[in-house]
Amino acid sequence: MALPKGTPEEVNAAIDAFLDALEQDICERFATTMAKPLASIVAKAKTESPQLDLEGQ
Amino acid sequence: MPEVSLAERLSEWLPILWTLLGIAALIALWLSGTVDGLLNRVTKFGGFGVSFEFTEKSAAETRDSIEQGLGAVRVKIRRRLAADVRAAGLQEAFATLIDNAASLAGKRGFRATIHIPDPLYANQLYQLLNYHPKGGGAGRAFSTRSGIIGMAWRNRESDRWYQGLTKERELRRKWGMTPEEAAERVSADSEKLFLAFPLFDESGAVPIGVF
Repeated sequence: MALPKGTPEEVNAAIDAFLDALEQDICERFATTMAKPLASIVAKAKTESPQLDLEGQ
Repeated sequence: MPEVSLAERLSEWLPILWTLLGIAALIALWLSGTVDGLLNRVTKFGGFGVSFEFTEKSAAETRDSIEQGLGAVRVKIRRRLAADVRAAGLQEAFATLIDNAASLAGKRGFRATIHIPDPLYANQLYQLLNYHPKGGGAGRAFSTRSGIIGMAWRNRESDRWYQGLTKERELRRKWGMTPEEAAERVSADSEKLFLAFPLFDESGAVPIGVF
């Protein structure tokens, strides 16, 4: 996504405000529309698939 | 006291003498370096139904075999997850979620997706959904040790990354990239803004993915 224009401070402030608004917006509606089916898919994948720990071997 | 013959005495001491002789021989071999040489020539190891031979030819064959085996498992997992996503209508739900995001209204040139813990490899994130609205990308895996999605997943909090303000050195030091990855990022993403935050289940306590 293109960055807002301005000084570095203004850019950072704009990014912070945008992130806060986007995160709140997405998280609130995600919780009511997608959290349950996604959690179900994640739980199913976790139990049915072999999670290999290649780093720890 | 009964008298013991020389033959009987020898038969009593013979096992002990043989043992001492064997130990002496082993010490002599060890001191001469012969044992090390013999051990280093062991190139085959096996157990529990699996065997590996440590030779150049076998290394390539073993790598090919493991890659093919894991590749087949990866394909099955990818198909299963894609089917689950279709059955739950998750890609469509995600499109609606993004399209109705007030904070993204009027914004162009962005793409969004969801990653989940990789079912195949620990400490990896699996891209569950295709990017919206541009499409593509689902089925890839990324390390949780690097990049912004790794940072958001590990810390359980949102993060941002504006490449324009990030130097190659910082990509290596903070974002866990190799010099090659950092150089590639600098040239490819110099004008991009990245945002990531963790997603939780309905209870709000269990992390299930990264936006």
